[in-house]
Amino acid sequence: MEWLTDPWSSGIMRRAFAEAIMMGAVTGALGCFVLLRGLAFLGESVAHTLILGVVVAFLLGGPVALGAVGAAALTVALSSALTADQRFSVDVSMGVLLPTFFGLGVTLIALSEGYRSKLEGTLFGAIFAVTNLDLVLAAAAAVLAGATLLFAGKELALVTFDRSMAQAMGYRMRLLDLLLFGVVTVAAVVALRAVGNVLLTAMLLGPALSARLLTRTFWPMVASAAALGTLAGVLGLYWSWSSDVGGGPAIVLVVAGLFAVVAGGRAGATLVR
Amino acid sequence: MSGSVAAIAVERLSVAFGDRLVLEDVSFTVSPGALVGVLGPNGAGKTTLLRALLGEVTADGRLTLAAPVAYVPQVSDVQAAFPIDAQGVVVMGLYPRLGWWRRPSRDDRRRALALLDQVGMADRARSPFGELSGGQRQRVLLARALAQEGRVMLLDEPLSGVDTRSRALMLEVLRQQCAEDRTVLMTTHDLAEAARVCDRMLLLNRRLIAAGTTQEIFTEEVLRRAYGADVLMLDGRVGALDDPHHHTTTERRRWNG
Repeated sequence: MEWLTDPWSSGIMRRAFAEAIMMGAVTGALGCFVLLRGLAFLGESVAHTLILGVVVAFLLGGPVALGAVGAAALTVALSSALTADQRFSVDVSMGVLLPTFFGLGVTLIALSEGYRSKLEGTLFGAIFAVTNLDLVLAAAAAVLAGATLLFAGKELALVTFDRSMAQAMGYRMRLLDLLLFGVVTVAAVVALRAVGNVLLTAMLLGPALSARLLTRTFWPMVASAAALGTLAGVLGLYWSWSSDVGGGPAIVLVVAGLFAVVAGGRAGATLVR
Repeated sequence: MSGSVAAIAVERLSVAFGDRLVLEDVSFTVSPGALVGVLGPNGAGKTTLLRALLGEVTADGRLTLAAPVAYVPQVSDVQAAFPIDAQGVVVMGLYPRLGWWRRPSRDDRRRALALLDQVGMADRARSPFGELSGGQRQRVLLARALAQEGRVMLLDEPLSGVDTRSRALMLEVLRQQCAEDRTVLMTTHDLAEAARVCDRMLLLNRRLIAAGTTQEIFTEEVLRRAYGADVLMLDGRVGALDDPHHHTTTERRRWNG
């Protein structure tokens, strides 16, 4: 049983576990909305716009997570300003902001010293380097996501299922959209630290996809996705601990593995029947 | 129109999308308890009229509706891949009354089940919405609108692509609603169906061509003003050629006597 408890004796690993568990639950749950609303592009865009904040934080020597939060706030504010004009959808505004922020971020990295490792950390995450501040931010993101689902979960589900009905009922669409995009952005900030820019979409969509196959109604899907995201985080870290695989990639590969098992199991069950 | 207060009053309504005028200077009133059909060719502004009544599009003119308003969107507007069962869909009709925070209670779910029973769908309460047929989905959406307990109910093409049994059940429910003094306004492109079931009709083609009873609307002269030359009159029955399916059913009915 030592292999089970060993990793927990190290401070670095304990922090990594805490980060992975919180990130897995939050991205898993919110990923259900992203998946069902066809917002995969949103997750991707958020990740790419955040890179600017991360790089600026690197260069100024400040906490990376705060840089990401700043970039996220800037993204939401600019996107909100753009979409106030009815001709710009959220997709379009993200399409404008994404390459701009990403390009700026990559340019700044290229200009800085220690370019390679910084770029790697940004793209694939640095879960073994999380600080206590990162953990506080992750916890705040988890609380925010939980509160949002508690306060407006059923309304957000209604908008996802039947937008014209929600509108007819008098719900304010822009407000609900901004709320959802806001919490997804915050979740992306947390996940960015753990799995990085490139792998973030997998954390949002993978657990949600598996959960969709396992469940028939929405809230069980959300709960399963959160559980699968957490499980992937923990298993991925064990794997990374006992091998040379990086933390972020290991977690994402476990997400993919879980999906393969679920999808394969279902296909098998259909064949047997 | 009776002397009572109108359930729906529309005065000089105009809606424009960009430079294009979709509805122009439309005025009408509907008294409580009426089953009203909104007719007109494709692109006549039928759905836009509903969206204006719901306050979803910016419109010029005056609109008065008896509140609350219940709504049945076109079934194609609903995301069928969303994981939810029929009962869960109906419970959504109760959300505005629940408010934020509160989760639907056991009573709410029981109420939803009773409404599903009204539309003949109680036995499919636990079925995923996406696995239901078009007619069954439409009935579930109708049950959800019933949950809203509107004084006015607006339905967008509720009868299109619906099987005979669903159609009969839905019309029975709608008539029952009218008998309880609720007002029903539905869009349709099926002239014959509208002639059979509606008390009154609004014939639209950007402007309001005519409003009135079947006898008043269903004259060749009035219909031609909405549909142009594509109107078919057979033994006093009418069809519009923009709907080939309907054309054949009208003819078949004729041959059957």
